[in-house]
Amino acid sequence: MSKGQRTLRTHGMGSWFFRSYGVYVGLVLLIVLSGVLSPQSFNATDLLNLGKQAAGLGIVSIGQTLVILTGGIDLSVGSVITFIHVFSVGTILGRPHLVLPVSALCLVLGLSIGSCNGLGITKARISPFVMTLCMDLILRGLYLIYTKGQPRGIVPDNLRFIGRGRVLTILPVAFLIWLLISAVFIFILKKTTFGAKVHAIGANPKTAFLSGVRNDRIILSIYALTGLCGSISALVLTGDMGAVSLGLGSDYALDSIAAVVIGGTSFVGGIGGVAGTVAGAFIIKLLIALLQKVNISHAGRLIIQGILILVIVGVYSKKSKS
Amino acid sequence: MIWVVLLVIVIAVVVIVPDFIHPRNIANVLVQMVPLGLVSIGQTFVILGAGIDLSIGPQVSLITVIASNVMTDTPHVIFAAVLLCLLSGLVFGLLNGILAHYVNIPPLVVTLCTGFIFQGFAFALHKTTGGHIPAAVHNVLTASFGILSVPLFIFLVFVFTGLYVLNKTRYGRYVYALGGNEEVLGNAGIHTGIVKIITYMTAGFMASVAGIYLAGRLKSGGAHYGTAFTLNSITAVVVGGTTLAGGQGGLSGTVAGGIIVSMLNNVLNNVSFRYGFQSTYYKNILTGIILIIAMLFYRKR
Repeated sequence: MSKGQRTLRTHGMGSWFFRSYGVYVGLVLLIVLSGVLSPQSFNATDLLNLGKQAAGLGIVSIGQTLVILTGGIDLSVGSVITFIHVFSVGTILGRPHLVLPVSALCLVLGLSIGSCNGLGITKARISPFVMTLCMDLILRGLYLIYTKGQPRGIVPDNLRFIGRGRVLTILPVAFLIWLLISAVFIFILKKTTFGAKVHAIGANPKTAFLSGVRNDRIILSIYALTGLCGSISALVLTGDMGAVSLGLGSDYALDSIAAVVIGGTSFVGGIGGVAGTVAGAFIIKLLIALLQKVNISHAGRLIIQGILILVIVGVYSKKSKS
Repeated sequence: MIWVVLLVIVIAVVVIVPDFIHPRNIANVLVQMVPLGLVSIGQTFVILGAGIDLSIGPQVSLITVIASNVMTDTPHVIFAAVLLCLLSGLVFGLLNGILAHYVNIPPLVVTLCTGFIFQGFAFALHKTTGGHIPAAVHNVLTASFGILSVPLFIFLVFVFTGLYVLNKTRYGRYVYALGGNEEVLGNAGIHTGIVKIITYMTAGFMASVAGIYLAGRLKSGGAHYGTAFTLNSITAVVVGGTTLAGGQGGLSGTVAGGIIVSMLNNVLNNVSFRYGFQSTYYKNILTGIILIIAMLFYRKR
């Protein structure tokens, strides 16, 4: 496996710093830039607001980070979000007492969808992008059938709370949920054997297997966790939006991959982590806000994000090659 | 082998939906298959070389948009527009190939990103009116004589050219070798980058042929016209027995795979019309399931 060998070479101190902390330097620069562009919206409230807006993307990107760390990819996250979104709103139908049981059901659904991906990839040995692309199509078909093309339902106030609510009238609940989940996953990846195994599989699956890692189990649980992250993100986004839309998840495959890649996690395995992705999600949301400010359309956004991912992946791969 | 599967499916379909065997429907299925078939030829080249092209759908969409934007009724403008579209397709492929080979980014990531970029351009350039495609182009591209039609003829020309290139030329053997073991091919003194880039350019070229045909048939361009082709072309190739790891399989299987995919879509249309449900919702699910089944089937063997 030449991929594995490549990652084993030393990167040098500067490169290591760049990969680990460069993203936070970039984030600070981008915040300063947006502050210069519009000084009136440069204060703590607006930054916390940004944290709220980035929460949905941030949470789903945690799952995407795990997947990309193991050398896979999950292209189904967008459809998972839309599916859980229309399902939750359509089942709750504005009844507050149903929020808790339906949310629990949604988490189970997310886990099961992710497990299906994982089973297809590990047991049936279907490559991750094909399996998740198929899952994306299947879910898209399912939510279109479920909604008949016209989703309906009302989001009750207690579900809105996790998206829009504030603790102590200032801290956004969504942001806190995101930080909490991120902290849990940073801990898992850095301090537990599970985390070490994830990195080992990403660096070299064969070596990991020969050292006693049960690759299939780890990969299965990673895709299941990604499905779970997708459903949490869907609930947060539903609460924030307060309405129902079939287009909710459509950009999240691209956005989450962009957040992960900007955060310094590499496609050729085992390098990176959730801490970088948190900053990556912030950057993507800031960038989208900036693009909207200068009136660049959705089309322009697709082009810019596509180029951005290519440039960053290209720069990292050149660095690790030399 | 795959042709036997195709025969079995045809028999099953005829038993379930007797209308299917009607000559007009057969002609219809064959014509419907053409754009997918054209795109899948290019996808076969890329996958045989151990690559993948996820940007093919957006490429087709972008070509339909370009064609519908630049065409006017003047004959030499039509000619120039067709040339421009073919050239654009080649450039798209060149871009994918260069990024995949020289910048050392996995082809999956390259084409996913260029796909978003092409899609962005398609959104930016497309006209809400659908643009303009001259009636003459539409008439030529949809002309038919019984079961034989112009699109089918175009498709067959490209299939036989593709079969010749892959099976009879040195370049064809290089493509198989590229998918089998790139390092060995390089050690044999072949410039693997050029072999790889040409496979992506073939995909881009075929996408532009499909795009021109689609724009002509639908008399317009649209930013979503090609969306389904990405996964459908991969499905056709995989169903046809070409492995995603590269180096194994071939174009004749892809043709059968393409027929199977578009035939099942046609049957779904028939059935949904009869029982009155929305077939587009189920098409997504159908494609996903066919692809998973195909992967499972070839994994077992």
